[in-house]
Amino acid sequence: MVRSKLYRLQTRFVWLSIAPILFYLAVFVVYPLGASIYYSLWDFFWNEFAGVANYREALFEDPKVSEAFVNTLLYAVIRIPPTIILGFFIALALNRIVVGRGAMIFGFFAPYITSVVAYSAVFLYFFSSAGLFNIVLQAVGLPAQPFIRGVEQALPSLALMDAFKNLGFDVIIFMAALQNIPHPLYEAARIDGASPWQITWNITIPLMAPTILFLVVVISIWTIQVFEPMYVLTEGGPLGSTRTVVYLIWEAAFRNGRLGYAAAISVMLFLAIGVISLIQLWLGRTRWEY
Amino acid sequence: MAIELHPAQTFRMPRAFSVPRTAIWLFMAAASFLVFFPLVWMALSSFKTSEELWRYPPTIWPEEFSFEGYRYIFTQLQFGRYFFNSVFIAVVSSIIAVLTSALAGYVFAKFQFRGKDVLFIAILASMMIPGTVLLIPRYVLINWLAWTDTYWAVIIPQGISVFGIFMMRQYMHGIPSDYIDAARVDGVSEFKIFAWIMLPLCKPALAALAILSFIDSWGALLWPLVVLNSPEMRTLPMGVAGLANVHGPQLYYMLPAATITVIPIVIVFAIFQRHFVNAMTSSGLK
Repeated sequence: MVRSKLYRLQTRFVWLSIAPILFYLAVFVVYPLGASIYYSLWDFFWNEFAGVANYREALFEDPKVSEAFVNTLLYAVIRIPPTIILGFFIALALNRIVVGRGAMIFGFFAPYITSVVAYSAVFLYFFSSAGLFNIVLQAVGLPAQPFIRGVEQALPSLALMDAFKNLGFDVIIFMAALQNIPHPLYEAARIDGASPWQITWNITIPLMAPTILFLVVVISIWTIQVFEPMYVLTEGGPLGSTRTVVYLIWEAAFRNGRLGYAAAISVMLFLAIGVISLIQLWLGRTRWEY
Repeated sequence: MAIELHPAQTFRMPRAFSVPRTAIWLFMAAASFLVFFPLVWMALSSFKTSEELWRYPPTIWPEEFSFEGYRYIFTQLQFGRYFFNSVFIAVVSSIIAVLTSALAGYVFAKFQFRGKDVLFIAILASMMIPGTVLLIPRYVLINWLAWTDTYWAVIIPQGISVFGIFMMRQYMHGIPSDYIDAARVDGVSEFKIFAWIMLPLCKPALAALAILSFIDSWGALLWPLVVLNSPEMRTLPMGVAGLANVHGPQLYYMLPAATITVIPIVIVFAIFQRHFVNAMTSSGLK
């Protein structure tokens, strides 16, 4: 078949245009994925092949690993539901507000886009023994709390700080999704005499279900990989109570030089995230038809 | 699709609860201020003297503005350098990200070619891979390339954004192909068509992507921490985190450091809020 000149030029343009992406995918995504598995079978400390030794150690011998997974799960459970629930109602309310809406969106959303490190720095003060939170608590007669210095309180403190910071993301996504609900649905409901609560429960929330699912899955994937708050505020402590999986991986690889071990844990994390996401998607499959 | 930030609303959304409107407004105003408050406190307190910072009862507005913290971090520590590093890396990453995403997005939106669907699925799949599992091999790769402690180690992985491709493709789908066809008939080269016809038509999406890329790059900690070693190469988040890990009076310096990390982003966001929100919502929906 004779290829026209135009066709050849177009083809060349196309392949040149996607070359960077191909390069990136091959070098920085596909190769590392395979390499992770390969490295996890090595012991970098003694520079020898280790087989499944890393996995055996991580799964059965090292208490820090299971502890890290538990911490991370706990962190996610504290961090995610409040933002979704609060975010939903805030978005509902914001959609009805006309005056000053832009400013309110700004207030909610600005913390989301600022650097986690900077935001954590502020909370270093808020959480400290002479810091704002304790001042407020003591002013109303409650005892001062250790917050990030307390073994029990450190993880929830960080999780709530995280939730507070990222609330704006949920709000924005919900606001956009709410605006996609066709108005005639609401009109029809009101004509039929539905009460406001009925409207919310039977129309808004079911129509929001895909958005809620999307948020839960995406935020879970990100939250499970949290690192910065621990690094900035608690260094995994006190007593390892804020050591999350990624923090553990970083520690193992770049503090202790055990790259193979860290790679094994990261492969485990990858699988765990995959399983969790699939479970979430399966549980959230929509049952309503329109 | 865009969030309508336009004040005029002819349709009244139904209420979730039967609560008076002003109560909701007051509550929302208070809540949004509360969430924003830590940033306000941070900026104001960065100008306080170390004594006033820890004073009881605490003050919000500084009694006297002291630049001591700022002076220290710029002269005794190297925050001027950290600032430059962050700016350089973020700007270059954003430019690369915008250009590569626009090109690739254009090709996906307007062309057909062998393997297109497979490649697109591959791109989508790669977005789902959690970054942690790629961390260590990427580090080993950077090491092997002798790129540790260079700007490129940070810029290249950040500069190519699969999310960006996705976003540009969505946007370009909506642009009619007539201009392109007309230009082809006139014999304009493909690249010129892209550069002089498509790109100008995509300005909102390009701006949004540039801003998102900039913000992502600016706030990143883990990857720069892994590949950058020497103090001169540190980024702002690394600098702030470094101050955090030495307890005690360091908070006094952390606040100015955190403020200079946050202020540029907040200003950019305040100016471009509408575009930014539009970009986030149009790409976040599936």
